[in-house]
Amino acid sequence: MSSNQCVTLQTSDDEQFKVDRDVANRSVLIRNMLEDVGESEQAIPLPNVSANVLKKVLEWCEHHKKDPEPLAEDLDDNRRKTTEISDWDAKFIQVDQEMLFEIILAANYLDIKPLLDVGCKTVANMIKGKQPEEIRKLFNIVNDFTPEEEAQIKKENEWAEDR
Amino acid sequence: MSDNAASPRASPEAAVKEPASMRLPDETWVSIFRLLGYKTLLHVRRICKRFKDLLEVRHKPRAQLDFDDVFFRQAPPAKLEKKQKYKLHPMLNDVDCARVTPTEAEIMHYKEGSGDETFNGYDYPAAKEFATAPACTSIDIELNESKVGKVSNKRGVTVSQVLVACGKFWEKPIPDSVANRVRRQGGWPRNEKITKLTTMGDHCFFEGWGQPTGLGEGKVRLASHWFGS
Repeated sequence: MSSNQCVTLQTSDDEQFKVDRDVANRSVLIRNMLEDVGESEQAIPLPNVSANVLKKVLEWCEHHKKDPEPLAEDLDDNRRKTTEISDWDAKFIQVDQEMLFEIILAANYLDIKPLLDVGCKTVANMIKGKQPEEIRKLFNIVNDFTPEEEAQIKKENEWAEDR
Repeated sequence: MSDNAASPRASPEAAVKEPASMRLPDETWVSIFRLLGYKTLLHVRRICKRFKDLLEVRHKPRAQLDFDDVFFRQAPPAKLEKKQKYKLHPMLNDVDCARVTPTEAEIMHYKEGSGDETFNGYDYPAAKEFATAPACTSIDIELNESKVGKVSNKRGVTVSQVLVACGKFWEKPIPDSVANRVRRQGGWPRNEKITKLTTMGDHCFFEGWGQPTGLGEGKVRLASHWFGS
């Protein structure tokens, strides 16, 4: 039966997505839920993900459904500071900033580490080489330091400023 | 449903006030910061209080990389193995060329477009940071294939200690016979101070350092490259 191979996901805005099980399995959260629940026709509720974000996330899962399981040591190896992203992923993540952060939040919630990784690398690349004020502007972050605090940190940082 | 599903998510109403970036949980920002280097993180520290706190609070449990390793603030661990990998402080690592004396560390950076830029390394608080990460207790310095000697500090060798040691090396007096010959050749008075620096001229410049090599028990060997090599 092909229905065994399919999973229905329900978004926060009550849309349903029918996907192959190996696509859905890219999410450790969903995989664990499916293992707990066993065979079921019921839709899996994803109250933290909206339809437009899930659609995008599933597009990634579909493309990466045949990827081998990442080795535990690869996931942990944060010391390799590579911020390289594959061509397909780089194109995939070319979205507006709201969507970028929504994808990261969804990858975090759904526990899709390789996608979370792509999101984090993208944000890291956006930050690199920018001045604090540029980064604030880019991400709409409010400067909540007092002028005195700011002067103090700036003094501590002096060596690296403008270099 | 598993509990780890509960990430700090804002309702659509709150999203209007709060920027999307600020909705990322702390651990996600920490993962992003882990991809950045020293200089960028110094900028990140200045953005807002939340980021500064994230960089200053230790996030040891889940990751091998502590921000203290990046910021060169952590005292040396009790045991440092022979195969220990050390990072060199950017102030030492990123120099294109340097000439140091005990009072002036003339560090040159090559800047794309604007050419060279020179600054005195001692003037910056970063010079007080540890020379390596993890911090080591002694560094055996070699400058342009000459032995400078050992700098030790039980609490961790600092950047300025390394610079001072190099400076002192150039200030060292040289054998009288050599000094006299230099004075004669240069037409200088007998009391003119002749040091290694005088005799070497441009050869006292060096061009960055090689990878620090762990020798075990917190000891490190550090060798500079020749200028122009």
